[in-house]
Amino acid sequence: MSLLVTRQVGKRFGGLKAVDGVDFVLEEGEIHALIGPNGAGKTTFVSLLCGRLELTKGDIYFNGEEITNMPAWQRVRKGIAYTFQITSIYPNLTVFQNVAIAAQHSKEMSLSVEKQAHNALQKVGLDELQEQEAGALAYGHQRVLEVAMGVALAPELLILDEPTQGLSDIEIEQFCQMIREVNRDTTVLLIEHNMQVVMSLAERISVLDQGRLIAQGTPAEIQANAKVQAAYLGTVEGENAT
Amino acid sequence: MSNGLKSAVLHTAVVVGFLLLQYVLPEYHLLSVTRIMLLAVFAMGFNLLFGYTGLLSLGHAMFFSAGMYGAGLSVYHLGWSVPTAFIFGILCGALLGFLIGLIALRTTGVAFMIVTLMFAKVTYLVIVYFTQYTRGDEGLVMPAESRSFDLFGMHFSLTDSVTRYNLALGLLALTMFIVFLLVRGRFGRSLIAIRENESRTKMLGYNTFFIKLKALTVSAALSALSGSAYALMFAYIGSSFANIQYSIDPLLYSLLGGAGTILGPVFGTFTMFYLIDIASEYTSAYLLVTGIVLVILVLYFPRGVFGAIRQNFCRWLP
Repeated sequence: MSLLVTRQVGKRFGGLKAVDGVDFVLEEGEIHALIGPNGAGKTTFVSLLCGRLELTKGDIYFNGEEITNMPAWQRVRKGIAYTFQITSIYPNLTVFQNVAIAAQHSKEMSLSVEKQAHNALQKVGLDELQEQEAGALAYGHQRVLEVAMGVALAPELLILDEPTQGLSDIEIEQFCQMIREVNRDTTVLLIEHNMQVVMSLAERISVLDQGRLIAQGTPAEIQANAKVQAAYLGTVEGENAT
Repeated sequence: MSNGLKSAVLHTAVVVGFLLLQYVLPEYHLLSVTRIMLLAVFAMGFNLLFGYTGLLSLGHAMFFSAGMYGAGLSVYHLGWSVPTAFIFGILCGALLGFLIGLIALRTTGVAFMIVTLMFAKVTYLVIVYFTQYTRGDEGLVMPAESRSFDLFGMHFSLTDSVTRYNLALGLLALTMFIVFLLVRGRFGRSLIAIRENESRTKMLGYNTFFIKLKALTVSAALSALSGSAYALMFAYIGSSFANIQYSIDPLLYSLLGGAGTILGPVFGTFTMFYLIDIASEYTSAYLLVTGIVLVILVLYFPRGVFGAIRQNFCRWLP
């Protein structure tokens, strides 16, 4: 069964159709990348999925249940975790406290909050920094902490919004490793600009352009897709991409 | 020693300290410390919302006076017994907190301050408007029958200063214990999360509105507990207790002692009370002294005394 399905989802900001009738299917267990040029509506689209924004039309189903009008906090309890594009952590609290706040609502109920927080930190490799104040961490570590908070929720679906932005090459490598690790028991949907990351991680890719879903397929299919090439590179004047 | 044990020992020591203090204090100071302990309960209730949840209410006098009038009026007009009236006062405050919360918590920041301030003003005006029952500014003195009561086979006389002192101490210890349990557990963690980053907290599965409503209701109930006890112990209720000053005082106590700590408001209440008491012996401009203290505090101890202690020495302080 598909984990997440959207039907004709749309979002308007005044006259602007930021997301325009998207039919999207996410399969359980995959790593799915959402790509597209700047301003394509990627962040808006995932914000609709996790409930940070209200949609103007369409329906969303998660695990077969309609969640279209469910408040964000409730979707998190259902198993949809979201990590912010602009790092949003608790800078005045320790790394451990940051993750413990998330672990308190973990889908995994059998372990104590402390134990779960510890596991999540271990999974992302931050366990040695757990007593540090989060605001004092290096930027790369803050990004990882952001993901750790998502992981600590033990979600069924983890949505990552441009997780590698601002990371160094080595950090990106470690990051990909970590995502594969997380993917063992979590479906991952990631918005990403770095094509190397996309091609190495994603099993399937969806491409948004001007609020519309223009292609969905495997990395090879997407690379060969003319519409996608046109969206990214533009078309020669007078020539129409088909 | 684990952190939990350390803080349990520290807080017990403070209660024992107050317990022993009654054997050395002269009559006048016995009365002062009784008042301080009740006001500290008020400050701790306020601080649960301000220090832990990050919501600055400028209208907590309404909850204090809800307790005071809930208890006082039911004793005066309905002849209720002291324990019943006391509980009723607390319930009045909790209910008011819940209802105000439903409206005021739709706002944040400055708007929340103004909305709570306005509701407190309304409460004050309601008390004055119903002068027929409340005697407004002039207030009511509790009838002589309400100066003693029996509970659990014991007789309590509220005219006896030592009895009053120990009852106030009991309420202080109870409040400390309640707040201690609340802030150390899951609930406390969610309050701090809201204080630090509410939008993130929502995205971690917290129904932040409901949690804030719960915090406000408990905070109001503790403030009402203080007001209720104040009315019954000192046998007087008056509209001056619903004044803006009684909304600001717990804020000053919390800031001085350290917002977001349990002992901070207790220390703050004690210090501020005696500062004013001592300064007023020498000058009529005693508020100037408190003003200067606050300026120094903001400059050098922005987190208050216990906030500074926690930051520099004991990170385990709850």
